[in-house]
Amino acid sequence: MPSSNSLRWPYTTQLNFMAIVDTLIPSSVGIFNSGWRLQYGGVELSIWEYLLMSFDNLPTPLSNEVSQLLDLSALYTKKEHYHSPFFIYNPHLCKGIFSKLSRKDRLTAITRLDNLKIPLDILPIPYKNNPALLQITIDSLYQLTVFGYYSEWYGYGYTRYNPPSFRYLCTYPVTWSYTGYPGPSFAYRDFRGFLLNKSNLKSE
Amino acid sequence: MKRPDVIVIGSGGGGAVIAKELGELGLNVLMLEAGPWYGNINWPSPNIEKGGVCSSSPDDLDVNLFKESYNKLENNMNDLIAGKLRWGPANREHPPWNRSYQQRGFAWQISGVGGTTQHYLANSPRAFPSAINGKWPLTYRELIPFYEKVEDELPVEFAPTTSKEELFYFGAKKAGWKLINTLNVVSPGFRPQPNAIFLPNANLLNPAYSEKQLSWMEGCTLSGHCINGCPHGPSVSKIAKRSTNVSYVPAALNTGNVKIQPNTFSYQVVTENDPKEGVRAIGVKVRNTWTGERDELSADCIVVAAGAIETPRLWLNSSLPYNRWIGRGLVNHNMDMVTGVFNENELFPILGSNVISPFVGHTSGARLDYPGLGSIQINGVSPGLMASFTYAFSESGTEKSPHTHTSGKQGRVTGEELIELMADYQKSCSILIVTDDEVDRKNRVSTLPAQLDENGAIPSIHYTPTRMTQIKKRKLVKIASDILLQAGARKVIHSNWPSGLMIHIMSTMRMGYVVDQNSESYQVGRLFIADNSILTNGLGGANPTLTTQALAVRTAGKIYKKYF
Ligand SMILES: Cc1cc2nc3c(=O)[nH]c(=O)nc-3n(C[C@H](O)[C@H](O)[C@H](O)COP(=O)(O)OP(=O)(O)OC[C@H]3O[C@@H](n4cnc5c(N)ncnc54)[C@H](O)[C@@H]3O)c2cc1C
Ligand code: SF4
Repeated sequence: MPSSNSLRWPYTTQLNFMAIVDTLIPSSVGIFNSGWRLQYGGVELSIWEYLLMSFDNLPTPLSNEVSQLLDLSALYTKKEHYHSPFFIYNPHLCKGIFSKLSRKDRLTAITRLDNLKIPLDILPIPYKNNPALLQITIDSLYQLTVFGYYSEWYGYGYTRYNPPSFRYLCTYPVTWSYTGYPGPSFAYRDFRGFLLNKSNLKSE
Repeated sequence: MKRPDVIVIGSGGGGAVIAKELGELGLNVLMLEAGPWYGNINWPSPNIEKGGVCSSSPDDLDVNLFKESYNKLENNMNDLIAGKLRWGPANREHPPWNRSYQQRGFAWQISGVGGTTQHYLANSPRAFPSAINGKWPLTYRELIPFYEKVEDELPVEFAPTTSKEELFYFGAKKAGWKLINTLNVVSPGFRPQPNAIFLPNANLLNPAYSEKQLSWMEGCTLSGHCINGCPHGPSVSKIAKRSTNVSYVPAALNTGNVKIQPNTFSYQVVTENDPKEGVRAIGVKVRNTWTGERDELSADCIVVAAGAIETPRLWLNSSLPYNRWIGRGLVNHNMDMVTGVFNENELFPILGSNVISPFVGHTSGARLDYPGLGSIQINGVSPGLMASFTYAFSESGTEKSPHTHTSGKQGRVTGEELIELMADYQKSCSILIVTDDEVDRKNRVSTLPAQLDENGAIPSIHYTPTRMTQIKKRKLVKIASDILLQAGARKVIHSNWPSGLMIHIMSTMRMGYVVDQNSESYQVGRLFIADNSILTNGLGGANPTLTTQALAVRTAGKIYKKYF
């Protein structure tokens, strides 16, 4: 779902963010008695753009640094696979390699960062020697991806690139149908009485 | 503008209460708030335009505007970076305010009139007496009249039962726990949450009223949006969930003595050395969050109610006298989450329905208290929040970890497994773990002179749970898992949240250490504190807001008596 907005980020950063989202929430096929249904994944529903926008709305924009982290970790993951005795990290040649890994290897690469199994002194600033920030970032990758996916984000349609106060629901947030969430409600009539009333408190 | 008698900094859980109480005592109060004001005609587009300067009339409150802002969509409301309910300036095109964390996790706080109570769950239990007596400079008995006053005014009522509460009670009973019929908890047991939420609308089950009509009437509609911000009611002051922006703020305006100025960040408390009184507070330096304009305001007394992170920050950035407990002793109830997924055939006999629908009813309507350990609380939130806090947030990582018990798992879930679990969203519900968190001086809010934002050095947060806290948390996780299994859960997932998640943020300016039992600073006269920071400890694991509010009422009386 390309958009003019995508021009804001280097292509390799975009690829890496698509790859994260695809790792955590791939598209899938659900089989039911009545047939099958394709469930769109995070890439189709533009969650990678939500993720990019979120990281760039932090007090220090971080999307490119996060992308670099993923590439570095991808290199380490590859290196381990092939028992390669040496390797040279060239940030220019390695851009986007995270996105070239299999889903399984991508999850390994993310987990490696999560577990701090990478030399912290070679990380880009502000992650260099900052394990807490690195782990908070990995937590955010997970949390924002699934929050974006299961919330109404997709429903903002073409307004999703607007500043937050100028977004409007213009289409049904399809992920609501994946969870059975009815969306905002005025009231539910599932009132089952009271277990206690203030008036029947034992006298104290 | 007339010089106020008292300036209150922050209009959240504590600030709004003390402003109203002081106003009622006839004092002239100016309340400064860093964030926006939703539902006031002076700020018709609170996130887009700077709007007016301040408001002091209840006639300025507008429920249509309020409902327009609080639109119940979770991404719009709850997004921590750009949501309406976030820790940042009113203009959402600007980033949130920065914090530095020394461990994984983050602080979940909200700026704006109403503060973090805008999206709190309104769970309003009293502290456990055993956590107060002998540990605080006050006794539990001394607190009771203030609890009663706040419970009456909010008001606090026992939560009604909906499906998830019914399931919780069923599981708790089967697991051998007893109902405790009390507000003063001295022994373990389960009970409905005492919530600061109006009783359900008496016509809720009357088909003559449409659901939309009900949402414009007085009373809770069980709509399940407490955490997204409750917009239901006929007027701002009659919104069902009693966040302070709809309870104490309207009441404060009603006194005719309180003026509230949003979009105003206080970055320094001004003091002087008075020959008779010694060091005392005389004013505040502030910065407008839209224009960057700075100003200095003065008053006879200053009340800081900026929350347990910003209050110590403000102290440190104002270079107020040294005290070895400033910012120290931070507790956060070391929270966690345990979630049960059920099969239809197990639910039906208990609920008469195939689903739980966790998005129905108060976000949390039932709890089990255990003095000495803490509490556990049923929890049902909208799906984005559910997925991100239950399945995507864990200290245990993503790899399959050792099972907690036969049908359980721990840690994050991704891919097909996540998709399957979320497909069972309607048949799932969670239990929040709230631990009796031990005070440790090492846990703290400090400032980093090298890291600044427009309001000065930013807060840095250190928190590591003590061994005792960790042991208690594990016991509570076990109790919660057991209740879910007894209720018939087919699967139990223990999220194992990072300890640094800050939802109940307390005890960084402790009573008996930084402030005296009247909440006045030991070292700076006329400087009072009225937020979670003064709680001497974590109340044994009871949600903190009601106690902060009770203390705010008490402090108002003390201020009046001593200085006016
Ligand atoms: C999701 C969630 C659910 C919760 N549910 C519950 C619950 O059910 N029950 C419960 O008891 N607690 C709950 N809490 C915690 C509850 O929100 C807090 O206990 C309560 O809001 C604390 O009140 P406070 O006055 O200390 O701080 P806050 O309510 O955070 O208020 C501080 C105010 O000060 C303002 N401010 C800060 N710094 C400045 C400054 N320098 N200048 C001007 N203004 C400033 C802030 O913008 C804010 O409005 C919940 C919290 C979260 C995140
Ligand atoms: S359930 Fe919560 S959001 Fe809904 S009306 Fe009641 S208090 Fe408001």
